[in-house]
Amino acid sequence: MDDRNTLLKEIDQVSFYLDDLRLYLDTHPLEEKALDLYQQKHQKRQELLKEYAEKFEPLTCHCVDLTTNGSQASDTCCLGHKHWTWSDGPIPWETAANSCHISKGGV
Amino acid sequence: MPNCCSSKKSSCCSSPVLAITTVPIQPWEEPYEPCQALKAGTIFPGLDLPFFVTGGEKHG
Repeated sequence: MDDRNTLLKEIDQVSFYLDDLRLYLDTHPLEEKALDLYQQKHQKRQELLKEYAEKFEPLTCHCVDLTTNGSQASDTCCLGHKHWTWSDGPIPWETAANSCHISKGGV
Repeated sequence: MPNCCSSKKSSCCSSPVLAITTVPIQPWEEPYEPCQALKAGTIFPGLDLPFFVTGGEKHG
């Protein structure tokens, strides 16, 4: 379960980073370094979301990738079959991921 | 000086003090790494200010 939380934490961190960077870019649209960083971190976030979808289940419905058919960590009744992976995995409010995530101070 | 904000009477603020705010354009600076930024609540060291008595490593 720790791998799930580690990945979730990384996604949290890079998502927050992009949010803050976006606020800066709203008022500094020509800032080269900020633009480069945004591109870099946005790419990183996409990779993390893809990894999460492959290892567990899609974090958002936009992460559904029909070539993955669930994997060892995601509880699914269709393991191994091409299926709609959006319904795989624990329901957010009952998830062990949430409880571990929060019990460790949440951040 | 009475606490004007709670009073409904428009005449209560007999001598409102105007303020002129100057907000400098934020300069670019090397941001924190994502893990530190989430704890600090900002990616910019210049905005990482001690507003909180507790919380976050720097202010914890």
